[in-house]
Order: sequence, then structure tokens, then C-alpha cells
Amino acid sequence: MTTRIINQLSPELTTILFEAGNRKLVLLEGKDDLEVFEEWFKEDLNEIYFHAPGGCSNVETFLKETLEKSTKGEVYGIIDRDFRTDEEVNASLSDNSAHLFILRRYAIENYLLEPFAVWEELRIYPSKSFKVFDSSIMEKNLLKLCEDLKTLIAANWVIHEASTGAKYFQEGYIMSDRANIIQQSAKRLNLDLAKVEQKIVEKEVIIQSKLDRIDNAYQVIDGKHLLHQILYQYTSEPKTKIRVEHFRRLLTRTVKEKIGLHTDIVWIIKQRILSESAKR
Amino acid sequence: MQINILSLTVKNCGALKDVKIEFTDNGQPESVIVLGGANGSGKTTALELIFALLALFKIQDTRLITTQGGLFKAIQNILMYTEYAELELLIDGKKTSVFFDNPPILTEAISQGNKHGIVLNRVNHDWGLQCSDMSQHLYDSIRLNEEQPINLSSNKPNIFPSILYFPHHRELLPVTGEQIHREEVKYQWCYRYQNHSSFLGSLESYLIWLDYAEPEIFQFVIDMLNQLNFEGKTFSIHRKTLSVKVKTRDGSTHAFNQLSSGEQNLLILLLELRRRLIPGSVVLLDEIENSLHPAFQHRLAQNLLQLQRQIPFQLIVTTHQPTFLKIFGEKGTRILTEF
Repeated sequence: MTTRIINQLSPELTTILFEAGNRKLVLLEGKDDLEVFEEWFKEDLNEIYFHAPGGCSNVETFLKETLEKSTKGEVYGIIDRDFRTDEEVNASLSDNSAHLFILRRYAIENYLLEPFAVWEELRIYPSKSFKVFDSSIMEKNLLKLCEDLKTLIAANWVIHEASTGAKYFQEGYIMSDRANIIQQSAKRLNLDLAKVEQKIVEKEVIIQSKLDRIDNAYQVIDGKHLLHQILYQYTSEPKTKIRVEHFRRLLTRTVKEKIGLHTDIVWIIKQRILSESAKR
Repeated sequence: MQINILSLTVKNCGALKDVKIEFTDNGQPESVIVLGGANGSGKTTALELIFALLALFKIQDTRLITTQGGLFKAIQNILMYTEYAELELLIDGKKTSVFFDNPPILTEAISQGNKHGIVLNRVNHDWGLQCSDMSQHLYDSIRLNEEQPINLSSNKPNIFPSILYFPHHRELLPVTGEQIHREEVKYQWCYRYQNHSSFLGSLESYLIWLDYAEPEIFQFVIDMLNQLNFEGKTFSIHRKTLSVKVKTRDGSTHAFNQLSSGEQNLLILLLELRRRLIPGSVVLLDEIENSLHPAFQHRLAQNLLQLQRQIPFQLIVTTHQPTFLKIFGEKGTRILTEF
């Protein structure tokens, strides 16, 4: 047995470990993810400590650094799927020694936007005139919204693959004007319009093939964009950051209390992270 | 003289199985060390070991101590449950160590001249004493100063430092009392704070007694209290009524015992520390937050740092409160929980 040396750590790691104590450390991408996971797993916060160092690359870097210094190895990361492939996602979820998990759906918001939860909240939310009679109609409407977002998401995908640092289209960007999105993409990427359009069409085809049901659609459609569009379409309130956060919180609770957490999430936290201690 | 702790090495003592805690930054001792970690990670054990190891400098002859009532009384209890512990020190710029080895596992320790310590072989009850170059000097100084009144006046300060330990279970001195009692503060090499049940006075009576008997020291103490920044509150003695008056920022006055419990807690801790603190000492404070609101945690930390600027000492605290991490800084924080 070698002597464990306890000395100075980086300021961030010191702060995190000070708070974490002997709990398992789970790194998340952002404050929004933190809020969701802390609400969903508040009964487990005696065993698990969530922390958001900010951003996907920060999670990966911080996880690597912490694992190098760790002797127990009870440090994990959960990141959004974004535009990752099924193979990448499956590899992270099936590898028994994995410490970095990739969500099967695009982002954490995609697990909040369950049709029943959205329908349940919109029924009592200050609405223009909410006339969706049940959650199955809500599901169809959500799939329609996903289809409406198709070009915008495809454009962001092309921008992502170009890796030129070009700006992504933000939530709330006008999604119905396809020609404008293509034109703007070409401008942002500083590329030929026809070439950009061809790339976007290729992505649109892939996205379209996934729009048969919610579970598939939510793997490719960015939930942040969808959340914004839902509020835009169904509520009469201004789409401020505070309103979006409030609606996100309502959905977080409703999903947990009335539907139950998605198996992807339960698998990562309960089976892969928390059950590790039982195996030891 | 100035004492600084550089590191603590422990084998098998409670939660500390095989660890070395570094108290330095680039080789230089940290002035404030915060020990953090979950319950049961060994924070209090570390403080107890530091205190117990430093107390070993009072031992120069194992036979003599044995005849005076047993080595068990001279050696702090925690060491009897420890396989090996070693404290690396910097005394006036010179590195030295003090260790306890039970049973002897580090034979090389015996052969090194800069280590002071006890080796216990339980099988044949053979006690060994290893003296360092520093041993005799420290032992003589401790004997010379022990039980002598501590001189608080700044022009004749005690120059030999001490180890002041405030454990977690610290019942504080009562603020009020029926009688005014004399309480003399005497030097101890290793002082562990505890409130004696036989103590008949109070913090208030101590201040009143000082006002009459030791005006020079009284002024020193009252100046210290008035500098503590208790939201502008100042302290004075009202001789006619034999009471301590607290004057608030708006000019109104109230009795000493009308201070909030948090203020009393803070006052007593800082006063107890201040009246025993000699430059170059080491102060150990277990669970520094001990029932203090975050506002008072800030106040305590700021006052300790202010005190440290006036009288240099090394401060080692344990805590679960992030407040102290923010104030004292992450640089000097050591996380004991294995991760």
C-alpha cells in the first residue's frame, strides 16, 4: 500500500471535493442540467453530488483530470448527445468501465418535453387559447414542431461539422423561412450557397427519417429549440429567460411526479453510478 | 521562536490509514490550513495527533515519567491507538520532526538525528526515546516557561510559543457569574481549551477583575475587544455597578449578557485565544463554525486573519462550511476524504 499524499489541489477541484465529501461526483454540462438532476434525484443527494463546470468540453477535461488524481474513481460525467452518432452513445452506455455517459436524446430538455408533461403544464399555463384535448394530440403537435425545426437543426448540424467556430442559430430564430436559414448558413460558414444547401438537405433527410415517433425525434431535435417553440406557440407570455426557466422547472417536477423518469436517465444514475458502490 | 507545521504522516489511526498531509505551498508553510472532508475522514484525528505529537517534546526521560505515574499519562491517548505518526516541523527555519512509533516500523527513524520521538514495543513493553538536536532546547524552554504567568503586555512579551488547541467539544466560559474571581493565565506548552466545572467566575467577572488588578493587561484586552468590529460595539467597565457595558453604534448601551449567543461565542473564543497567544505559536481549531451563523463565521474568520497580522501564528482549522474555504482560500485547503 502506498502512502496517500494529501496536498494542494486546483482551486476548482478543492471547492468541489470540499462540497462533495464522500459522495460520488457527477459532472454535468450546465446550470440547467444541474437543476434538473438535483430535482430528479434529490432523494439520492446524500450519495451523489452534482456539479456543473460549464460546457461539454469542460466536463470531459475536468473528468479526465479528476480521475487521474482519484484513487476511488467515483467520478462521472454526463453530457448531451448533440450530434453524436448512435455508436458513440451506445458505447458510452454499454461500457462497464465508462465514467462518461452520453445522453441518448439530444439534451436534457428532450427528457422534459414528454408529451403528457407538456400537455399537463400547458393546460394550466397562461395560454393564448389552448385547445389540445389530450396528450396523444400533443404528441402529434410536438412531432409537427420537430418537423418545422428540421431545417434549423440541420443547419446547426452542418455548422457543427464544419468546426470553423461559426455561430449556431439560437433558440427563437425564425424556423419557417428555409431559404433564409440556408442563406445565413452559407454566410456564417463563408461557403458557396449551393454547397451549403446540399449539406443541409442531407441532414434534413436524416432528421426526417427520425420523425416517426417522439423517442427517435428527440435524438436529433435540440430540446432547447423545441422548448422555446412550444412556449411561442402555446403561451401568451413574453419568451424571456425567466419564463423559459420557470416552464422548465414545472416540467421537471411533472415528469418526475406524474410520468416517471425516462429509463435512459434511471439507467445512468441508478444502475451505472449509484449501484457501483454496492458492487464494491 | 517560531514553530510551523510542514506535514503530518500517519499510519493506522482511525480513518487515517496511510496518509501524509502536506501543510506547505512550494516548500513554505501555509499560514492558514483548512482541513475539509466528510464526517469520519479524519479531520479531528489529525488535530489530535498534531497536539499529541508536539506534547512529546515534554518527554526527555521515559524512566522518569514512568516512575511519576506511567507513560500513559504523559502520552496523549490517541497515540496509543496509532501505529505510526510523524510531524515535520520548521522551528526558526530549521527542519525537525517528532514521531511516535508503535510498534517500531521505521527503524531508520531511530538513527536520524533530527527526529524526536517515542518508540513503543508492546511485546516486551520496551519504551525507546529518540532525541533530536532540538529536543533539549525545547525541553529546557518548556520547563522554564511552564506555569509561568503569560505576559500580555506588548513591551515584555513571552517569546516561547505554544500550541493552543480548541477541540470541537468546547463548552464556553459562562458570560455571567455571581462573583468576581481572579483568573490568572499561565503558560502551557500544549494548551487544550476546556471549561472547568470548578470555575466560579465568568467572562464578565474576568474583565472586571482585570480592570482593578491588572490595568495594563485590561487595557490590552479591552482594546482587542473594541477592535473586533462587532458592528461598532465597544466595551467598558461600569465600576459603580461592577458590570461590563456594551455601547452600540447608535450610542445606546446594554448589559454584557445581552449580547447575542453568537456574539458571546465569538467573543469568548477570541478572548481566550488572544490572552494565550504568543507570537510564533500554532493554533488548532476543530469545527471552527461550531453553531455560528454564516455572518458570524465571516466575522470570526476576518478577526482571526486580523489577529494573525498582529501576532504571527499558524492556524489549522477543520470545517464543513464553504464560508471558510472562501475566506481562507482554496490554496491552503486540504481535502481528507479519499476520492
